Amino acid sequence: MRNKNFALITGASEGFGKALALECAARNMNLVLVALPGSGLNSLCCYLERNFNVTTYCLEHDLSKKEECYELFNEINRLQIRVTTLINNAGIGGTHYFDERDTEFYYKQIELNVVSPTILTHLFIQNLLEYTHAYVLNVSSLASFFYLPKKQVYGGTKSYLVAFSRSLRRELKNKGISVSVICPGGMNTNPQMVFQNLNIHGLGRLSIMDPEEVAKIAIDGMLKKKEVIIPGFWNKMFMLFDKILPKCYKEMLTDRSMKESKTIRNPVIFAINPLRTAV
Amino acid sequence: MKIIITGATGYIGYKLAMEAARRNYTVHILVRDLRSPLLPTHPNIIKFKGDITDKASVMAAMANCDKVIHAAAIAKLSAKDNTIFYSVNVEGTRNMLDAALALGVKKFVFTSSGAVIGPSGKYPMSENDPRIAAFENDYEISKHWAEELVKEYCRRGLFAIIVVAPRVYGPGHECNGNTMNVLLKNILSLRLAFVPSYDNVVANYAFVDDVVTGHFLAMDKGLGGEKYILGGENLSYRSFFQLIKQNTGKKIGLIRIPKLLLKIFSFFYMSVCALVGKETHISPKIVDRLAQDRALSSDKAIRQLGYSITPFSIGIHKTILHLKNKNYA
Repeated sequence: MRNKNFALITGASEGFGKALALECAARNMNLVLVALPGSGLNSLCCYLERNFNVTTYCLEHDLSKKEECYELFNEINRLQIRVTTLINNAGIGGTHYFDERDTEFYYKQIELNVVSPTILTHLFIQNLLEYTHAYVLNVSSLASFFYLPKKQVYGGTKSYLVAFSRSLRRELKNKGISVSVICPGGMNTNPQMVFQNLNIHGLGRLSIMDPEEVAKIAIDGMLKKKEVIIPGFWNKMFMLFDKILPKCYKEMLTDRSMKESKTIRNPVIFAINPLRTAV
Repeated sequence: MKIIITGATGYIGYKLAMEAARRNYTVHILVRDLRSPLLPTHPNIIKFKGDITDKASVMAAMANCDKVIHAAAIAKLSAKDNTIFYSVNVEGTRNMLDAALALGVKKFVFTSSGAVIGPSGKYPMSENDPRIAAFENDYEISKHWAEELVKEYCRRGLFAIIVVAPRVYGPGHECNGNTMNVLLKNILSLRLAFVPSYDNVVANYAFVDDVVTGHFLAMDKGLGGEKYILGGENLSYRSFFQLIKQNTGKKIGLIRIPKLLLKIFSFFYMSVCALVGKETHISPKIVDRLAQDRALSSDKAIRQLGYSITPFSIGIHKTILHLKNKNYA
């Protein structure tokens, strides 16, 4: 294992993380995939090894607990895996008014979206510095630029990742580590999201992309050492509109768009697996 | 032994009901229209009027049944009112599962779709492989959620098995679930087949009799909570159309059409249909979908259930004979 390079992806069992894993494997990158216990990571690893010429490790950790971030790092060192690319993807999403969730939820969201990537980056940089080509990719969101209602804490955590990445990038520029951040709009990450996205009309709909398209753009951008990656034509347009339109007009547009995208919860799945859909 | 079969006026459900009757089951079928021309008739078949979305009618029809085959679903890729996918495919399945658990049903077989598994990679997909592309439409999501519900009821103690039917072909009546026969009919009457230029794309084609037998094998030998793919041969469009051509015994022109042209055509067709208010499944999205490999592996069913696959050349021969007898060619 000592001469193989690995990319580590957190939150790799589902959605965008899984798409990133598939994209990296298609580019013959060896992978360390991390996800919550019991999230079906094993079958993904089997699939990747069978279909692509790559070595994979699947490690199960709850990264919202900082001890488990340390544990993950120690495990990688114990196994002597050369992680040359770190992709901080794990996160908790959510579209709801501030009072619709309790403080526990937000605490966990901040831990996973902010604390965990910070700790992991801090730990892994010691290793990354040893390699000539090393990459860090943080997965943020378009919500970090648009201060949308129902995205207060989520948007905040994602804004943190943009600021963190851009600043760290300048620090590490001359040390051979490229830090990038990707800010996707809506994605068809899981059945619940696809279901919601199929019911969105208006501006929001244009933003939506399939995770596999975004994953390709993300890895391309990361390898080209881009600073901020905005995937998709319409998302780039939104960034442009944001710069040129007056604030009141923007707020009118986004207000309308958010109202239209009422969180649609399928009562069925909610009854089966409240945990997953709460995310 | 009493069995209830839903979707008995559909393509697969009709055959399931007739096969169950042949196997000396007393077959309860739950149908919306007792005068439907598509009803299976056999002395062992008892008709119940109702709808899977109506819990009371489900309970009445399922009373005293030991076994359930739940094959009813909205089996198409789009509908004007997309909520029917959820009310029928998901809530309907929940009603069936609820009733089965309450009435102490011994075995429950749920007919799911290859659409839940999605496109394949280098090798045919098996039951445990992760889905590698995003879910695309309400049909896929509704069948996925229905599967999740079945698994949930397994955890609550129901003995349920999921079987997966891919693109199914073979003699049977024409309806939403039977797009293959519509395609064959067109080829036979036009003596022309339009082959997409991406003709190396592979998909799985299961013979309807295999799928029906597979349901009963799963019921007899399947393990609770398990999923079994009841597939057929994986064929590229090229071999698919070649085999059809060979078996018609007639001259059939194969015309290759580039993907872009298909997309443009489908876009215009879709727009015209939207204008006149006609429901259609043709859209540029469907063209993309048909350009993805969708190979499946039935190895698990073969190994664990003793499932067997009718070679496509034999299956298609029988199908074409059937269509010829119905004067389509």
